[in-house]
Amino acid sequence: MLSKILLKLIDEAVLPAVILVSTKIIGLGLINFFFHFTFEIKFFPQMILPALVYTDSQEALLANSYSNLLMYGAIFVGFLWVIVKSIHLHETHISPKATQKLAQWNLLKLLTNSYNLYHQAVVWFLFLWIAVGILIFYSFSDLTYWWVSVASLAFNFVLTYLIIDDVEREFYARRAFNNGYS
Amino acid sequence: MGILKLVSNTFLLVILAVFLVVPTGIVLGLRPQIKTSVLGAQTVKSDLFQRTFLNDDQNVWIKTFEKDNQTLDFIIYKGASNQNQRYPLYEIENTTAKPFEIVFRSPDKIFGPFIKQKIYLNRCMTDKPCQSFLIYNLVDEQKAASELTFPSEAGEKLKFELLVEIYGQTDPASFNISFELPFQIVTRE
Repeated sequence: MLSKILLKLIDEAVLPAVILVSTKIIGLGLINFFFHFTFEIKFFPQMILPALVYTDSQEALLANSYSNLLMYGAIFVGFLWVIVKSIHLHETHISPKATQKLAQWNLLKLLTNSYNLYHQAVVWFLFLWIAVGILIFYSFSDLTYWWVSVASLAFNFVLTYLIIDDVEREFYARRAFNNGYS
Repeated sequence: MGILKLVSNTFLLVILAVFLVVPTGIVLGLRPQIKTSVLGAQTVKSDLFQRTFLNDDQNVWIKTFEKDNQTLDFIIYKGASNQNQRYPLYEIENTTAKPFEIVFRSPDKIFGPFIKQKIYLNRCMTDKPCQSFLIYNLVDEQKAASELTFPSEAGEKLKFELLVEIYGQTDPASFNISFELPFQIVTRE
C-alpha cells in the first residue's frame, strides 16, 4: 500500500517539478530580454549551474523578483486547479445538479476521485510551500522584493485553508456514507 | 519479503525526495550574482603611496578594471540620479617623507552613446571644498586638458572623484560610458 502511494506521489511530482524549474528559467529569460538587462552567464568551478552575473544590483533584484513571481504564479495556478477540482469536480461531494450539467456537456471525465485528487493535492501543496520558502530565502538575501514573498505567503494561507476545508468535507461525507451503510 | 518491501519503499521515498529537492536546488542555484564594482584589492600599497578605492559597492556606480598598477579603466554604468553626478574614485596617501606629484592623463577617447556631457576630476582635501578640473568635454567633442598634476605633501591624503555634468535631453538613468584614466606618480629630487 505504501509503495503504491509513493509511486503515485512520484508520478504526480514530475509536472510541478518541471513547472517550477522551467518557469523560473523562462521568467529570467523573458525579463532580461524585454528589459535589456546587462548580464553575463559565467561558469564557476565550485558551482554546478552557470551563474547570471549582473552589473547592476537593481537589475538583478528586478529580474529575480519577477521571475520568482512567475514561478510562484505557475505553481499557484496548478494548485488552484487541484482545489477547483476538489471543490466542484470531486465525485464524493459533487451536487447532483452539477453532475447532470457535466453529463449534458459530455464532460463527466472531469470528475475526479479522492485517490487521484489527494495525491495531486499533497504534491502541489508541497511545491507551493517550497516556492514560498524559496521566495522568503531570496527576500532575506535581498534578491527579491519583500512584497512578493508576503503576497505569496498570504495566497498560500488562503489555498491551504481551502484544501483543509475540502479535506474536512471529504471526511464528513465519508463518515455520513459509512454511517448510512453500517 | 519484509526487508525487500522496506528497501523498495525507502528507494521510492528517496526518489520522491529527489523530485522535491532537485528543482528547489536548481531554482536556488539560479540566484543572480552582482559583480562588485572594484576588481582586486580595495587598498593597494606601494613604496610611494597607499591607494584606497572609494567606490560604493552597493550601488555599482563605476566598475574599474585595473590594467596595471597605475592605469584604470572606468565603465560608468547607468545610475546617474541627477544632472551632476559624483562618482568617488580613490584616495591616495603619500606614504613617503617627501612630496610627489600625481599626474592624471585625460582619456583619449570616451566610448558609449553620444551624450552631451562634461567630465571633471575633483580633487578633495579634508576641510576644504573639492576643486574641479575639466578632463573631457563632450559638448565640443574634445579633450579639455591632456594632463592634470596634483602635488602631494609627505603623509598627505588626496581624494579624487569624477564629476559628470549631463546636458541636453539625455536621460541620466540611461547614462553609460567607458574610458581609460591613467595616472602616474612623479617624484622630484
